[in-house]
Amino acid sequence: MARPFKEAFTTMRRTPYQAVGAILVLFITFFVAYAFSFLLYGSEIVIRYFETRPQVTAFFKQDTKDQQVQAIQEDMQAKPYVAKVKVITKTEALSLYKQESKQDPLMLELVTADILPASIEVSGKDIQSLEHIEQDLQQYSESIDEIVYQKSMVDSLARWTRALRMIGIGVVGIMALTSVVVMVIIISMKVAMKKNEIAIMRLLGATSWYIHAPFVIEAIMYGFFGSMLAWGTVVLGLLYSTPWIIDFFGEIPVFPVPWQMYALQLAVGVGISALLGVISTSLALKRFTK
Amino acid sequence: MIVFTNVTKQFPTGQVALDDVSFEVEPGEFVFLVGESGAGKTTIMRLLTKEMSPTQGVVSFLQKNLAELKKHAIPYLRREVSVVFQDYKLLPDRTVEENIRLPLEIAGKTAAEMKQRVDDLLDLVGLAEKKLHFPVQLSGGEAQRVSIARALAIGPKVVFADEPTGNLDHESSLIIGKLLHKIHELGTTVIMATHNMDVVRALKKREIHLHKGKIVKDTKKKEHPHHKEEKVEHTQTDKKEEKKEEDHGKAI
Repeated sequence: MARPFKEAFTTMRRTPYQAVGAILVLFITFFVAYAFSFLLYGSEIVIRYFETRPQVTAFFKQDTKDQQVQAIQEDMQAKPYVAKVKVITKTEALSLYKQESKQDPLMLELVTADILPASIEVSGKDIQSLEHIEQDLQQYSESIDEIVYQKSMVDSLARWTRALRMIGIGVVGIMALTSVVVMVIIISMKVAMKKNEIAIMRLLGATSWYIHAPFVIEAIMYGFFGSMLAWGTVVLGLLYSTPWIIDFFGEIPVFPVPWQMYALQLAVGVGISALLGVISTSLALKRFTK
Repeated sequence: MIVFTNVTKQFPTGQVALDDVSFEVEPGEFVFLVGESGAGKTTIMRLLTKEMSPTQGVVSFLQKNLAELKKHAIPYLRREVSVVFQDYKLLPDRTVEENIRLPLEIAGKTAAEMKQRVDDLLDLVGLAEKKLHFPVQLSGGEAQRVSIARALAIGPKVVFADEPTGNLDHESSLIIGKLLHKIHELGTTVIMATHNMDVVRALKKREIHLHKGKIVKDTKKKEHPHHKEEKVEHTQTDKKEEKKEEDHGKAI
């Protein structure tokens, strides 16, 4: 097995521009693919975050009594599609407000517990349950002043993610096709250059694998280097921009990215790069070694 | 060992390269295929190495009909039937040593085996001192000797030399002829396609003459009625020749 690797590296060394060209094309393809996969991974986290947040919040009227609040809480908790119910009293609301506005003392002075309404936060088991929860809460209109829920936002986020996934697949697909075509051209040139050598090898009893192996390994190497380089660049870029991303997403926990995600990405990338190499070599050899 | 039975080869252009050709080559024989260009000598080689298939008839090697040979088995056939080409077909970017080593690499021999075999073959063809030279640095005769050494590398059962002296001067041609004879003496079946009658006359071996794709003379068949007597005479002559060739081989 050492010979095909040795020959592949020798050929790459002897034709550096072709090698760099192939690796760069594959680098761009895999860079876009890895970047899209991180983007989609992030969007999934954002959607999941919003889906599992207290999605329906109902603000009580100022004159609502504690017993009424407790009754609504118990009522909602009994619903099969409700995951969690939390009541925030006026005092708790004030303490939350203070927490969020601690850098603005003037705002703190103006607000007291009396002006902040108590509220109830109801989490659904899934996004479809939000509408039921809203309808349930609307029945308590004598106690509830306003109902807010984020279904439309989650919906539009899911729509965007779907669109992003389709665009990603399309872009990466086109770039993968371009990479295959470029590799077919490069490998074809190399096969054509070695046409006489291949003919002689055949006459000397070389098997197809003996002849094809160095080309297959070479194409896999292009894919491997392109993929590794792209993965390294994307991961470094991600690490470098971590503070900015954390700041942008605020309390949504997009970090840390689990190591399994990196490992899976790398494994899939290396697998696909090998597959691209095999496909391009097969096409090139099919054309030139009939 | 090699049997051609009523073999015809017609190309898509309509040209008939071989027309109902039948002959047999026994193990350990030395056979000359003699004929002008286009007589069908190279076609016989290409049929024997299964570069092409006959239009009609049967080509068999070691009792196996080559038409039934699977594609993946062809490389192994070519390790049994090595070819020496008129234009040497050496790889220009590899040294003499690397060219001879190539079939051994293909056959998956170990480094030690390859080194030993290459050294032996370089000694056999008398090119030990040129093992690091590239083909372009060799004379025609030397390049052909490298080609012969390469053909012998994995110990084939048959060496088919296709016009090995076609590009060589008289002296180099005789040296190549003698070298092939020496290889034959060492136990390899040799078929030499040539139109160089000097070499044919010098070696006095079985001759199959081809003309426009047909066998017009086969000295083995012709000898048949008086086979024993002629064979004895031949053997005595051969012994004298062998002595001369042995001396010549040493010189090479």
